[in-house]
Amino acid sequence: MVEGQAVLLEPELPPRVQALFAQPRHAGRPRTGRFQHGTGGMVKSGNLLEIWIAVRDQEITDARFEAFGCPSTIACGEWLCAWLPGRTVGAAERLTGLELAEALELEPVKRSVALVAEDALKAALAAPAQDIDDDAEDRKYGA
Amino acid sequence: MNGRPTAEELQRVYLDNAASTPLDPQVRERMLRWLGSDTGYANPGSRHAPGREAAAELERARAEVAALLGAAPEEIVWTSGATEANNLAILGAARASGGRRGRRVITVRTEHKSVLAPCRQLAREGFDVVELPVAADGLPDLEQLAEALREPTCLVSMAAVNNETGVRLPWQEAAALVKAQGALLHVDAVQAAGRLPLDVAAGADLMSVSAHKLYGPKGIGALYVRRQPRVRLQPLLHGGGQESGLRPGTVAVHQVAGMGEACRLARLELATEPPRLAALRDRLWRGLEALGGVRRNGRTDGVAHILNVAFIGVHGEALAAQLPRLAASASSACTSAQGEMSHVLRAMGVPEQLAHASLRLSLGRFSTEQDVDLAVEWIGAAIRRLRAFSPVWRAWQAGVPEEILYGGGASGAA
Repeated sequence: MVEGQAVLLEPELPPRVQALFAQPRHAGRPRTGRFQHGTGGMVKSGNLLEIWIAVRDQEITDARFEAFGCPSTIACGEWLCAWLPGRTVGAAERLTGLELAEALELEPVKRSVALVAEDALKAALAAPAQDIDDDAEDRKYGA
Repeated sequence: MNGRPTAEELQRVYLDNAASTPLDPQVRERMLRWLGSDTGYANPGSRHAPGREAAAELERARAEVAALLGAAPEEIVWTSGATEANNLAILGAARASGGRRGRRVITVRTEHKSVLAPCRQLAREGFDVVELPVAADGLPDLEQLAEALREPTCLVSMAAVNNETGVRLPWQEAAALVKAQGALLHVDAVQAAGRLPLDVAAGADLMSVSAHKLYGPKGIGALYVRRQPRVRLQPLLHGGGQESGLRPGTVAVHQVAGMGEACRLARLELATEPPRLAALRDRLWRGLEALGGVRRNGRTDGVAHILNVAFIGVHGEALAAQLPRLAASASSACTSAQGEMSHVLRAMGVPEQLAHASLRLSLGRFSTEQDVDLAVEWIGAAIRRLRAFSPVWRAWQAGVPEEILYGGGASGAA
């Protein structure tokens, strides 16, 4: 926090990142359903991305994400979860972080964010499907 | 829809008064007297009437700076700002001592870069520099200072107020220890001057102040140099004999006139402005605290104009990107790999990602309740939006402690 170093006025983001970051439509974990869940990154290194995918007959039918991270991390989660539904598991497995970085026009310094997203996706594809019932969770925590 | 921003979209809130303050209109008026093309241009070193008038203005301003610090006018030396004042004090005092009083120089890890950097320069010149650690609340331990002072020491440098957290450092208590060992005490008073009552008689040998932190112009500061007994300094610059040879160069009369007027105005409102700012700061804190998961970096008894807060569950860069109309200071630098973390929060043991999600909000003479309320509204909206899909926030709410979530202090500070 050097004096005046990072004044918060008008930070500049690449246009695609800005658009996806401003209005993520797939953010927030699913409340109910059967999902495969994967995680990429870690808090200590600056970004954490969690992805949930619903798979039926080798086709991805739904995708959601949660993110702790910079705008590029959130944009990666949103782009992935918009892209995945309707794709086959095989197509999702072939997606690389580099392709994701190019699709979002990430700055070179932000390329690692796309690798975190790739990690999260790969983990979700490899995970067993589990039932999510947040209403039951809420009852457990007394919410 | 022609893309022209609405009035609401253009509205900005400036809460970065610890970085710089707006020029007070009365200060500008005073400066303009010395920026004319027909009057006010003479060299204050000249002996003709216009020169003597300029010199008289320098002395009026010197008396105003001195009055704010409890000093005598002849103890004030003009500099280009606080960075030069800190450099002149630290390099000047240590080099002038020539190591006769000892080669140790003691400072605190949370000092401003313009204090730490000259100390590190002294280390390269063979001085033995000790940077005292601070506790989680930002305070150094005076017993550790006493311990460090067992080695013959020429200089101790400690701020009156930390610029990032507003924590008030115990320089008056330190002064007794420093005196007992025959060392000199330099106090960086940039964030304290005009914000708190200050008196060099409490034990400062050298004290730095800056004009643009108290509604004066940038490019001018001053160093208090005690006269009795006289503190010897080696100048940084060599030239004419201005400022008793300590700071050669023709003095910028308009800048000095502005600093003098700024100090006069600050002194006049010293009884009323700090309580007003404290009320605004407390309003700001109450508004932010209500969001939950908000930590205050520093102490509640800090200086009135600075509030430093950390927001659990959000990333600093995402937060900054959500606050385009708020001017504040953050350390939400770029990628985590190269992000430069605040050395102050690091010294206090704040975990790196929580330090990045910290904002320093600093109030000033022109801050209003409306500014505070807008800032709370904007920050609240940004925080709620980002937390809605933050796995870290979800975990924190489920009871996972911060140390687990954030991996503990970045420096492992004691």
